Amino acid sequence: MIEVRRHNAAFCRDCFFHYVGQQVTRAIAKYRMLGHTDRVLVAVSGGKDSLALWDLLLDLGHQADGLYLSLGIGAYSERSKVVCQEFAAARGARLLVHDLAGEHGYTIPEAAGGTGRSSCGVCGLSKRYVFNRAALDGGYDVVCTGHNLDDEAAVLFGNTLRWDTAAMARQFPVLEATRPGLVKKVKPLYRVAERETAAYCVLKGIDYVVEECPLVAGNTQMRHKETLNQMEEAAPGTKHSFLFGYLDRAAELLKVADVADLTECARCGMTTQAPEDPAAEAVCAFCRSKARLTRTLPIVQVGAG
Amino acid sequence: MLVTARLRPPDRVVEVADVGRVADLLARLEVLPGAVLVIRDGALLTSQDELRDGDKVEVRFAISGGSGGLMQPKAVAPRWIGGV
Repeated sequence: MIEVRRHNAAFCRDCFFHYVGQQVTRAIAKYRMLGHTDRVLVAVSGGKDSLALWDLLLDLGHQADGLYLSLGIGAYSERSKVVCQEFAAARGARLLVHDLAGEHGYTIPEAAGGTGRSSCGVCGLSKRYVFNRAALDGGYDVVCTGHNLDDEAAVLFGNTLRWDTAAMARQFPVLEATRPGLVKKVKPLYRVAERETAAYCVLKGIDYVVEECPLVAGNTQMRHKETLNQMEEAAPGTKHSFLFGYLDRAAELLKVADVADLTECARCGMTTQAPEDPAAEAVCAFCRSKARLTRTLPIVQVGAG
Repeated sequence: MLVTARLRPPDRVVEVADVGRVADLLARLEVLPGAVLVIRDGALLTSQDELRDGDKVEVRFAISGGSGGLMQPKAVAPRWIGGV
């Protein structure tokens, strides 16, 4: 039996699977996230959300391959990769594995010290870049990420505290591919709380990485989650109302604020924001970050003895 | 009456005396019920499920990156007996 307090409900195992599947189906239908002929790439980390999502999409009959990006966070990354590989093998699904150090020359722990960004900031930037590029190269129609209701509510909470209307305008369950070089991104779990994705994995027998990323301590989004959880405990449904109220009544109004002029990065050819000065070279955040790292990281001589 | 609870992440073990139900255990641990799953023998427990003497349960935080409201162990009980 699992309690879902925000719905004032409790489900047995089978009814809970039905409930979660229904939430995902509703999300996909409402925002026209996926079609059954689409080639889908699911970004998987080895955590509960992304593996639950991959499992659900496969059960719903989607052509869903997984993409794992190794971030170079020591034993944590090694364990995460093995968990994703074992899941793929058990489901007979295809997993693409990319490696940040091998393909781009840095790991997240190295980047955290060398770019002026937080480790979570550079991790997010790297993932967005690699996911989009891998989907383009592989001919996928859409990238699915495991962002859940709690993730989305916490991000919205942070954006609202700062009145970051540009970020709020981009916070939507679907980001369409508005120009060549961009792949559609969707969040089919935005209606499912993360306690529910964890319960789904436990009840389905999906082995996921329970341990936290060792770099996440002190992350602002996590502090926002804890604040929202305190509020949720006193008034179940608070996170749901906050997020769904925004999506239903405010998100469309803010979309006009997101009028970024896009162009191609002069270095990698991927889509990026056009510089304010038309004479300036357009270089995407990923390439700028990578260039700073290349200057910062020590040069290791391979084979020197 | 003693219950052994494994909490993770991070991994640590605690013994808690005299807790009749899951809700009592979570209250003693100062854990928000909405932030965790409580697992016994592979089955999920609800906050109203009864606990038995000698039970071994896992209190698994389901909120990525957060302690789910868990603060420091109380001065008298529960008794923290290990971490990994």
